[in-house]
Amino acid sequence: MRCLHHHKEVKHVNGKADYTALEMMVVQASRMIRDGEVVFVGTGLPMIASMLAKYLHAPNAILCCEAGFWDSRFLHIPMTVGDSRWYVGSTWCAGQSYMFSLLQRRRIDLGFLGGAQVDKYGNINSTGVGVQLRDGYYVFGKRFEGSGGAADIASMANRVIIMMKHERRRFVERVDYITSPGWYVWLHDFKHGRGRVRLVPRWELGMWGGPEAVISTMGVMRFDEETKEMYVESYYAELGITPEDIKRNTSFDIKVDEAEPAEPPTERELELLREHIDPEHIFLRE
Amino acid sequence: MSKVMGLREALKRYVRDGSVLCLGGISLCRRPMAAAYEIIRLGIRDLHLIDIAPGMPQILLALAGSASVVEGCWHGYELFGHPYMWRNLVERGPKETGYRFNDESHYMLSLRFVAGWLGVPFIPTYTARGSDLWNPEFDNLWDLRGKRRKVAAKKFAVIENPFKEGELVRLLPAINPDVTIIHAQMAAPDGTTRILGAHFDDFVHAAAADHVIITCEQIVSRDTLAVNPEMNLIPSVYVDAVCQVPYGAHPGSCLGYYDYDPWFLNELVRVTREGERNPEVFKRWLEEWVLGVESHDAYLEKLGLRRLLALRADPALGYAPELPRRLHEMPPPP
Repeated sequence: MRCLHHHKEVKHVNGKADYTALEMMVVQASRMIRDGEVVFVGTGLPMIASMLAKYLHAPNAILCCEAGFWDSRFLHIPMTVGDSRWYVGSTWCAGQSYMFSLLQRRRIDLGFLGGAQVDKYGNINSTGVGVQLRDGYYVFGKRFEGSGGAADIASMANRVIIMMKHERRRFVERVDYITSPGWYVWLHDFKHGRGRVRLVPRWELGMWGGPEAVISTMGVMRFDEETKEMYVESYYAELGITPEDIKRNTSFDIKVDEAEPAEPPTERELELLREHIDPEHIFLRE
Repeated sequence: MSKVMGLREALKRYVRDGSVLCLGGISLCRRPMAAAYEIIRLGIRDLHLIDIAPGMPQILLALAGSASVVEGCWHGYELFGHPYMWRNLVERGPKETGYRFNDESHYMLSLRFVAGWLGVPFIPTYTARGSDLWNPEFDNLWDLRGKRRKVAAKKFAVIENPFKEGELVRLLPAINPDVTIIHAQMAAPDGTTRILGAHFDDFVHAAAADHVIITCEQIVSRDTLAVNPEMNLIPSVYVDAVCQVPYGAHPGSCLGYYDYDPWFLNELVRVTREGERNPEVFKRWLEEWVLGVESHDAYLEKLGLRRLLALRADPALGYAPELPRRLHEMPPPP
């Protein structure tokens, strides 16, 4: 969830819309948050989306983060997970083992994740691409920050929403490394020893939850109820995006038959985002 | 009995080449940075680093050549930028660099510390099933296992739940660091430690360790901390040394005292980004801000009063509300 830095660079795609792809992503995420939910967020877009939801349809949603702040009413937007700004208005503050134990006890309704790669089953890689064994050690062609709490959230939140920049190299058939498990995982077979790998649905591992949606810079994807494969639910038509653009920027064969233009942000949503939630324009840069 | 001593003395007494070291706090917040700088100045090598939320100080120790084994879950600077140079170190691989980073998750590490605190050998969990974190082929400590002190004999084990037939459960080995260093707002000479705000699991970090060094903004009397003792996080029994180190978490934040320093962090990220092409850029920074600086007092002198005042926390909010934070268009540092 700390891998959303790259979203900063997203700009207007089309002159017609008076909002950015970043703002659109935040609005889409916000609308998926239900009133009363406990939402595990990192610093970044999910936090902003949760704030927006709290201003509108989900005033009783509770925000918490891995550093241990609970139900914060921060006055200035936090920039780091342990930011002192989180402290303001929190009704409880603790530490990581407390927060992640809430996940293991199934008390977290919704978690947000980002990453460098996502595949058709919603597996996420935020560790590194080009993984290989060299001299017995695993190394990466390109290394990223690492899991942090992502693997914990992906495996134990009751639902998960993924936010990603939409690029062909990021939307892949199979991630190079599963940091965060999705619906079907390529699992090392403990019973049969080294090297035996099989594709297993998460429920067979006794896991609950699973990724519900992927909100990208181009549209919103969901997972088919039967096959658990990703399909396009909506695309950002006002930003000049077409279903074909999404297909072209996805390196696996993605279904777009049911895709519809996404509902654009309302004036109220944009005003709240720009003037009340991130007035310093720390996350929602022009 | 007073445990008050200078930071250098405390580190010389408890941290050695090859020590297993835990640094408290989380990401950019309340990290024992002054201690990390001093470890680099003392030339301590071959450290085995482990804590629940690694990041800034562990990256610095890696780039300065002080650490060789890390059990961690994440390295970066969040919004400030990617962990440049560190990622190259990992990409080159342990054989070439002698530096090993072994990936776990936040919760895997926190459970290992909880087991260490409780004094039990291992702990079961449901977390991260389906993740390659549990892939036994991905273990960069394999050749140290059973050989190096305090490296667990196995990364993890899988057993059938003895209380529920057919259920597989993953077990993680406990961790007991040789030394945990925590930066706190207040401590008493006897070691009693008060942390304001979220504690970032620093009780568990301390209670799992064999020795604990507290660096703090202020040393206060035992009687001061005996008012509202429920606000104290760490009892004296765990603590070996108490060092007064004001601004000891700079360039990170310390709730109630000062905010993070966006100018300094921007600069740290810049020199590591440029350092990927030209390592001299980072070396010069390290010389200027760490190796060439006599002590933490000299570091603060170098930062200057105006900078420290700009970071000073508003007493009601706990941070600096006027701090410029648009990282791509920062005014010049005060």
